[in-house]
Amino acid sequence: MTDPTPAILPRGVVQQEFQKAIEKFRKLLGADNVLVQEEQLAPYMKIMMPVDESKHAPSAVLIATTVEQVQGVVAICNGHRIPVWTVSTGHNLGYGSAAPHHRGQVILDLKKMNKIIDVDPDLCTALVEPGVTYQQLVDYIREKGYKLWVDPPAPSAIVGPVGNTLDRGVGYTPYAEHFLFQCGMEVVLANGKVLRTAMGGVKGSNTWQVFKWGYGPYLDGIFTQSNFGIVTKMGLWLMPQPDVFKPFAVKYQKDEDIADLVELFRPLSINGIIPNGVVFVGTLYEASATVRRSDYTTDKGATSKEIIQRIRDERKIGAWTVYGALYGTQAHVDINWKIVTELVQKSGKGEIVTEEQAGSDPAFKYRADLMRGNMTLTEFALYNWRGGGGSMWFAPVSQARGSETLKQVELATQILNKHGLDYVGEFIVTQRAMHHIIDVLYNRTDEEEMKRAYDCFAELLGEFEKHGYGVYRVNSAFMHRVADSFGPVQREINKTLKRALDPNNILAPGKSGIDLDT
Amino acid sequence: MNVSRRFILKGIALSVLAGITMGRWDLSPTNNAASAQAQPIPPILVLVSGEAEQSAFLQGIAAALPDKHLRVQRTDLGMGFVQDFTRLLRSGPQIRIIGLVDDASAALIVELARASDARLQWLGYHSISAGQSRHRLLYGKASSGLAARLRNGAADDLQPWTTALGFALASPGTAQTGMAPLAADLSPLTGHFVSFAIET
Repeated sequence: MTDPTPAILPRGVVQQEFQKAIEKFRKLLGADNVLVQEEQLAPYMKIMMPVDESKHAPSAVLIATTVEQVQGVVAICNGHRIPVWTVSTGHNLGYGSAAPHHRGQVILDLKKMNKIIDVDPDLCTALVEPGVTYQQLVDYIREKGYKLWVDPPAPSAIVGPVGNTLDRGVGYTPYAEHFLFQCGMEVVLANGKVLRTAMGGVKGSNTWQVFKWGYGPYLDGIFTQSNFGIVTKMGLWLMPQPDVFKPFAVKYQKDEDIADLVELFRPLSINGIIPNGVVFVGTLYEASATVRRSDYTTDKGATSKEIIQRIRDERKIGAWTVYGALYGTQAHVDINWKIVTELVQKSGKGEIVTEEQAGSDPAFKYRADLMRGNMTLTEFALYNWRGGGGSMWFAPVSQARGSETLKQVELATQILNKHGLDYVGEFIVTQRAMHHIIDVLYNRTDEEEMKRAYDCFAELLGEFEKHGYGVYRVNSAFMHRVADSFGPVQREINKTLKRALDPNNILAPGKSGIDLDT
Repeated sequence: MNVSRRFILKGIALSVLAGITMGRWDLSPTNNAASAQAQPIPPILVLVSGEAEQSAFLQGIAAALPDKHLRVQRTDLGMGFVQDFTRLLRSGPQIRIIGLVDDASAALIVELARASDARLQWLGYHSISAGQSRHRLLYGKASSGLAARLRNGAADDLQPWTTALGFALASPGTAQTGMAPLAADLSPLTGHFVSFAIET
């Protein structure tokens, strides 16, 4: 087979050198697992960020299936100074998808490294490879008849626990903080050595998936949101299936109710009455399950307050809808339900909706599915709200206080509306912290709107930073910008670690703003 | 929507077009033999959603493959669709999947295609309002001629772009000289759509 002359090359690598590396990759992985043709690379180029696809176009895609192959890839990359961007399932939608941080990086796709190595039904642990999806894990658990739940993020079935945990993603059950419920990693380092973190380093140990800390400095954290190694196995804890699961919603009619709501529900989160994250969903986010913007207007720009009110009235959607769930024995749930309902009634506002009352409401079903770890793809409907394929998650973190909410909503709405975009957001209270999750949706067929979306996102980052907020995660077009928010000392420490662990800067340069060349 | 409901869809305008069947995942190669004017192409499945079901996109496909019996499938975000589509992508025999769908379906379809090692020969975003259309092509190998027309913003000059798109995706590498006359009774699209051509 004769290769076309590659149109895209890695940064600083000449064509002849790249071709030599490609030949070595083929020898290592087999020709079918080295993708260089345009139509093979095209599926990796679909991005949702407001920049041209060419900025994130890969030069090749490598598909590895074993740890030894990953070690081999790293060796070749070191030899030829080829930067390699690793993805597990690559469905990091709204945060960069599968595309590399910058043009020319080779993608290492671990989707076929998808073995479920172990699930222990007594200790409720699992050890999986990066390509394992939540659907695969659920199917395995069902087949074995284990009474265990998984905790997927919103794209559920198609994504996997390793990629999501390494990006410090979250779910919706009591095991939502994925990195908290991770235990033990296997990591291929840039020098080709294989590290097993924590108890995984002890010969003959059977505690790799049950004791997180091991001995000495705790290392797992430096392999999350980073580019210090390639994780090839990861342990996680699974939630035992509760006897009773009781999802509920509480609808509130006024925008300003959000402040009181957080004060009302935070204690229930901290003291474990509501053990999963309590989600406070804004009108347009809630509406997206069933409504498109074009159902109400085709005008360009931000959706008016009048239309948002019409949507609330006609679709019976609150200004805020709170979702939570109770888990446990019947006795536990009965007691906790009494506490929740009495508290809401005492507050004098809010309409409680149970699963039975919700009936077939798609929005309630979607949230209930998420809170019990079911597979659902309803969140994709967000992409139909405005249409045009643009989406970026803006996700600042704050204290879980009511006083934080309104000012954030007002600030975000003012910036989004100024750029002709809508506030489509929700808050998630997890005990002491609160994630504010806003989907910046825009039309990528409109160059002018793309530019506005870019400027909007930059302004959101800048203005929120002025108020002391940082985001917990960001798409690859803004990683350097966000790294700056966390200060020069953090950036320098990350560079120091990078120099020590990956002196040739081959592993995902640019990830989280860590790059020895910039 | 569950799988069984998808099999009994009724009342969609395209289903009255000769040689088109709605709602079947199974593809018989004998029903999709290549036409004389085009290069040999594998069996074709057409995916549509929303207004695209009643658009000239399907007419363009029918014009490109006049002797063929096409299978047309409506997309949704249910787990049944995901499982059926994934099974089809991984089922073995080569297949060409073309479509015009909403943004949510497109996001899902492209992700599933990549997960299954499929090749993406065309991906286009289309926005239509007040009689004007905007197009953004990520990749247009399936029809460089049409890609150039859309990129130049001249998509509405000749045939409706939806017809030309259907024709081009159904017959990659051919000129559009064989396109059949258009029926005028299909309403023009409005809103946002994504077109694609995938081959396993």
